[in-house]
Amino acid sequence: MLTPPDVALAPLLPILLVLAGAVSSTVLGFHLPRRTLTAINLVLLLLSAAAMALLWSGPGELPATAFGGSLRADNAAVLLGLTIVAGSMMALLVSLDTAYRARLSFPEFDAMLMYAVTGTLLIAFSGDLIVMLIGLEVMSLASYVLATLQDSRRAEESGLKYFLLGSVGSAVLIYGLALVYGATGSLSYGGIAAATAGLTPGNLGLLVGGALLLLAGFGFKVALAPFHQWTPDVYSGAPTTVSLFLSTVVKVAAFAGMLRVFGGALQNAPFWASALQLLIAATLIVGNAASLFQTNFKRMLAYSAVAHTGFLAMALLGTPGLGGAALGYYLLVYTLMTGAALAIVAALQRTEAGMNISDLRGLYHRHPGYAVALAACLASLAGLPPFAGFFGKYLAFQAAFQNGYVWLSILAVLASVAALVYYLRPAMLLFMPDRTPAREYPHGQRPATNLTVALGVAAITVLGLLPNLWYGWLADPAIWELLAGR
Amino acid sequence: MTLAVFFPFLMAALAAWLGPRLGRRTGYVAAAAFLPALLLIPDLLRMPGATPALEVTRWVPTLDLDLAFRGDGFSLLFAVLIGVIGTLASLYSVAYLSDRERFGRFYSYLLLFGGSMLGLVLTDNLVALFGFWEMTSVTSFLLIGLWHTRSAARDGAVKAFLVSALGGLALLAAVALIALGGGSTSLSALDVAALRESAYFAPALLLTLLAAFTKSAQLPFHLWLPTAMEAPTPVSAFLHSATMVKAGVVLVAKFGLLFGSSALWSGIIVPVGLATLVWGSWLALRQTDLKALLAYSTVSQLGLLMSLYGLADAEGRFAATVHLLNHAAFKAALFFVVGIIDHETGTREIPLLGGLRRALPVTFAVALLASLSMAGLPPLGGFISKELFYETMLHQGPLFLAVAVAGSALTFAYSFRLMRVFWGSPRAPAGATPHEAPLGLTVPAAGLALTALAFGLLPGTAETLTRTASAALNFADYGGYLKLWHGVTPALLATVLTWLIGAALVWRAATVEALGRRLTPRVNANTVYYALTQTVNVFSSWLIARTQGLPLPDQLRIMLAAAALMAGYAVWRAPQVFPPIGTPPLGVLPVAALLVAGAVGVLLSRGRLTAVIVTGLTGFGSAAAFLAFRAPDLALTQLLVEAVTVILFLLAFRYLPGVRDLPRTRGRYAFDVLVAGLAGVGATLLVLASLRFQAPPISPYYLEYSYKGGGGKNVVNVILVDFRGFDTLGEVLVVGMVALAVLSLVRLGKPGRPRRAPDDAAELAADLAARRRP
Repeated sequence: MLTPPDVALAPLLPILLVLAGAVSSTVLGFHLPRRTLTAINLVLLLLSAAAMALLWSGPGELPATAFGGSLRADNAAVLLGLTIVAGSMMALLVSLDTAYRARLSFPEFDAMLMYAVTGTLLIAFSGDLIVMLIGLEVMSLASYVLATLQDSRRAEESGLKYFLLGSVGSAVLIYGLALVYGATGSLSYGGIAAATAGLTPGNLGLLVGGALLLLAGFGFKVALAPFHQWTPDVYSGAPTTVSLFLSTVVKVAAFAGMLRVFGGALQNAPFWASALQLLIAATLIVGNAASLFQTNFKRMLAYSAVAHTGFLAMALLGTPGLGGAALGYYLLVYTLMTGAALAIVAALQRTEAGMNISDLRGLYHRHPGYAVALAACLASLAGLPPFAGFFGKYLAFQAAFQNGYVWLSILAVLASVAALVYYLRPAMLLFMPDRTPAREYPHGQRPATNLTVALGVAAITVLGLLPNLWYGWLADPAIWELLAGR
Repeated sequence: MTLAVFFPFLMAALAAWLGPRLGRRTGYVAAAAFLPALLLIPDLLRMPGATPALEVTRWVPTLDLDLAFRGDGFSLLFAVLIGVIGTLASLYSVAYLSDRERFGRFYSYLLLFGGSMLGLVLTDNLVALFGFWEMTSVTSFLLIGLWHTRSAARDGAVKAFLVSALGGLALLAAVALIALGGGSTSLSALDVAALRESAYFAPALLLTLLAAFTKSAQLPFHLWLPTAMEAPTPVSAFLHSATMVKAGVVLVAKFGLLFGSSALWSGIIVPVGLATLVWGSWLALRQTDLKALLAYSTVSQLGLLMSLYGLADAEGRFAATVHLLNHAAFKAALFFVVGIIDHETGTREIPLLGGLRRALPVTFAVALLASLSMAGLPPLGGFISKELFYETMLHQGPLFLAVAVAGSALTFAYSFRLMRVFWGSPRAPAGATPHEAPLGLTVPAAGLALTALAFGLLPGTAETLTRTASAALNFADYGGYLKLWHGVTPALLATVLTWLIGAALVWRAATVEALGRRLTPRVNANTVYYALTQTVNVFSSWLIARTQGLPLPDQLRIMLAAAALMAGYAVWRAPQVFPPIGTPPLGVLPVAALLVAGAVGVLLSRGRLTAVIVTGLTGFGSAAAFLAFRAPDLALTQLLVEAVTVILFLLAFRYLPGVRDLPRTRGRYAFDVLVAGLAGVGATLLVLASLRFQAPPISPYYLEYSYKGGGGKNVVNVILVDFRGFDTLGEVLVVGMVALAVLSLVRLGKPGRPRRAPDDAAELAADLAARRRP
C-alpha cells in the first residue's frame, strides 16, 4: 500500500527561511552591499525564530513532522533551534562591526554563515541519521570555508587543518553510521531505538562498534579530548567573528546531534556511556589544565571551550529527561556567555590573533562597560552564582551524578575549582590600575557589538537570577524522552 | 526577612552609584542598609516561644528551588549579629578609610557581602544556601583583593577563594545528596529519618564537614585566613572574625541536628576543632603583626566553637552559642582597636610599638576589656563562656579538658602579648605622632567592648540572647547556667590552672619563643598549598608544551589512534560474530585488486600529480565495483564525482608547493604502520561481520511502488526526487556550496605571484602611504 508523500512545509519553514537568506546572499551579493545582506539575514533569522515558536506543541499535542518522520519539529528541536538562532544572530551582529577590519566583508561570508546555520538547524530538526548527516556536512563544509575566508595565512592554515581533520572525523562518523544501520536495519531514530531492544549477539557487536565510531566522530565535532586538537588551532587562527560562530552555533548543533543520536536513538544501546565517560574525564583534565597557562586570551577562550565541552557532555550521561533539559539550558547559556566574551575580543583586538591576557590590564579604566561585561562573562564561565553559568554547571553535574557517575562528578568539581584560576586572572587584571599604554583597537566600540554584548550579559544575569525563564520551557522531561519519536 | 536579605543588595547598587558623589559618607548609606536586619530584633526577642516565620518566594519551581527564608531563633540571632556588626563596621570605615579609597566599590562589595551572609543564615532552601555561601566567598575575594595593587593582597584573595570554592563545591555536592536522601530541598521539611537510612548519609556528612572546615578555617584549611588579613581592617572585623568565617560553624550547628546522631560527626569535628584551638593559639602567640595575631586567634576560637557544636548535644550547643556571641563582641572590638593603632602609628608590628596607653587612653580601655574577655578573665563574658566550655569538655573526659586547658592557656598568653603594645616606654615608628582616634573609630569599638563587659557583669543578658536559639537548636531543657560564680567547681580549678600556665608562658616568653622556632614544622598547610599549585602549574605547562600546536600529522595520529582504541573497546565489550562468507564472485577480484593498488600506489607515489591519478584508481575501482554488482547508475555517478574530484584537486594543487616527505622518526614510523595496519584489519573485520542481511531487503518495495506511486520507470530517479526528495534537497545544498568553494579557489590569486601576507598591518599601511604620496 502506498501512502501519499508526507510533505509538510510548516516544520520545514524555519529551515527554509534561513536557506532563503543563504540563497539570497549568494544571488544578491552581486548587487547589494554586504551590510544590507546582513540586515536581511538578521530579519530572516528572526522570522525563523518566530516560525519555530509557532511550532511549539503544547501538552498533549503531537509534534509536527514531515517526510515520514525524517524531519521532527518537536519541542526539543524548537528549543535547540532557538539557541542556534540566538548564536547566529550574535555572530552576524558582531560581523557588522568587525568584518571590515577582518577583511571578511563580502557577501560570501553571509552566504556561508547562513548555509552553515541551515545545516545546524537540519541537525536539530533531524528525525533520522541521513538528515542528521546531511545537516552535519552542510554545516561542516560551510565552516571549513568560513574559517578560510579571510585572506591571511593564519586563517588558511587553520581552515586547512580544520578541513583535513574534520574530514577524517566525518569519515569515522559515517562509518559508524553505516554500522549502526547494518545492525538495526533502520536509519530513523525511532526505528533504531526500537531495534536496539532485541538484538542478536552478532548485531549487538555491530551496533556497539557503530555507536563508538559515531561517538568518535561526534567527539571530533564537539571537541572532546583527544579529538580536541584542532580546536585551539582553529579558534585562535580563524577570524574572531568566525571563532564566535564556530564555538557557539557549531558546537550547539553538534551537541544537538549527539543528543538526538545518543539521547534518542541509542539511549538503550550499551557501552557508549562508559566510553563517553572516559572521553569527558580526559576533556576535563586537558581542557582545564591547558587553559591555566595560556598567554593569548583568544586561545585561552578556545581551551575554555574545550573544558566546557566536558561539562556540557556530562549532561548526556544523565537520564534523557533530566540530561536533555540540563543540556538545553547549558547550551543557551554557554552560547550567550561565550558569544558576548568573543564579541568583546572582536571589538578590542588589534589583529585577528586576539589579544594577550596581559593586555587586558586596566581595561576598566579605558572601556569600563566592556570590562564589566567581560568580567561578568568570565564569572559566568567560571560558574559563579548569581550568573547563569552556575545553573548550567549545576544542572549538568546533577544529571551525571544522579545517573551514578560519582567519580566523574567529583573530577568535574575539582576541575571547576582549577578553572576559577584562569577565569579570575584576566578578570582581576581588568580592574588593575592602568600603567601600560592601551594596546587595544581604539575604535572598537560600535553599536551592533555593544548591543550584542549588552544583550548577552543581561541575559546571563537574568537567567542566573530567574533560571526559569528558559528552564521552565525545558523542564518537561517528556520533551527529552521522546527525542527519537515514538 | 526577605527584605532584610535583599535590601543590602539594592543598597549596594545605590552605594555604587553614590560612591563617587558622597565620598566617605557613603558609609552612612551602607549602615542604613542593615536596618531591616536590625528590625528583626523584635522577632528575635519573641523567640524561643513563637513559631518560626517562613517566607517563601517562588524562584525555580521546576527544580524545587525557592527563596525560602525561615526565621528560627538561631537564624534570627545570627542575622541580628550580622546587622549589628555590619552597621558598626560601616560606621567605623567612614572614619577609617583613606581619602583615595574608591568608596563606591568598597561599600557596594561590603553590602553585597552583608546581603549574601544574611541570606546564608536565614535561608531554608538548601540550594539557595549554597548560592549564598558561594556569594560570600566571591565577595570576600573581592574585599580581600580590594587593594589589588599589592601582590600579597592578590595572592591572599586567590588563596582564600580557591580554598573556600573547594568547600563551596563540596557543600553543593552535600546539599544535592541531602536533597536526594531526605526527599526535599527545604531544610525544615527534610525527612531526617529517611536521610539517615539512605546510602547518601555518610558521603553527605563528610562533604558537609569539608565545606564547614574550609569556610571556618579549621586545620588544615586554616591557611587562607591569615593571608586574608590583607583586607581593610573593618572588613577583617566584619567578615573574617565575626560573620563569614562563622558560616562553617553555623552550618555545623544547623546540620548537627541532621547528622549529630552519627558517631562520625562528633568523632571528626571535636578532635579537629580542639586541634585547631591549640595549634591556632600556638601560632597566634608567635606572630609579631597584630592583625596576624588576631587572625590566628580567630582560627583557634573557631576551633573552640566547632568542637562545641560538634558535640551535637544540648550542653555543647548552649555553650557554643554563648561563646559565639562573646567572641563576636570581643574579637570585632579588638580588630577595631588594631585598626586604630594602625591608623595612628602606621604600623602593626608589636616590636615597633609600646606605651600606647598614654596616647590612646580610650583605645587602651577598649582593648583591655576585649582582651580580658578573650583571655577568659572575670568579670567579662569570655570568662563565663570559658567556664561553660571547660564544664562541657569535662563531661567528655579528662583528655578533652587537658587539651582545652592547653589551648586556653595559650590564648591567655597571646592576649597578654597583644596588650604589650600599650605598656612599656612609648615607642612608635618615626614620624608617627599617635593621638586618640576620632569618635567614629572609638565608639564602635567601645560599644562592642562594653557589650563584652555586660555579658560578664549581667550574665542575664547573654542568657536571654542565647535562649532565643533554644528551640531552634534543641537545648530548651538546658540552661540557667550563666553566672560569674558557680562555687568551687572542677571548671573553676581548671581555669585557675589555665591562668597559672598562661602566666608561666608569659613569664618565660623568651624560652617559649626559642622553643617555637625549633618546633616550626617544615611542612605546613601553606607549603602544601603552594606545592599543589606548583604541581598543577608544572603539569599544565608540560601539557601545553606537549599538545599545543602539534603538527598536522601528529594530530591525525592521535585522532586515529583514539578512534581505533574506541573501536577496539567496542570489539572487546561486544565481540563480533562472523557469518560464513560463502564463495565470492570471481569477477570482483580484479576490481578489488584495482582498489588496493590505488591505495598502495598513493603511498608510493613521489609527485603530487601521480598521487592524484593513483587516488583516482580507487574511485574508478569503486565505479567498476558498482558495475560488477549491476548498478550502472551508481557507477555513472561515481565516475562523474571522481572526475570532478580530480579536477578540483588539480585546481587546488596550482597553489601548493611540491611534495615533501615530512621527516619521520623511527618511532613515528612504527606507530603509523601500527595504526594503519590496525585500521585496515579492523575495518575488514567489521565489514566481514556485517556481511548479512539484517532486515528484509527494501528494494522490492521501491521496485513495486516506483511506477505505481511515483509514476516513473527509472527507480533511481523516483527514489531521488520522490521517496527521498528531502535528502536530495540537502545534497543540492552541498553541491551549491561546493560550487562556491570551487569559485573561490578559481578566483584566488594567480600562481606565481606572491600574495601579500595579510596579517602584516605594517606592510599594508606602508603600501597605502606609498599610494597617497604623489
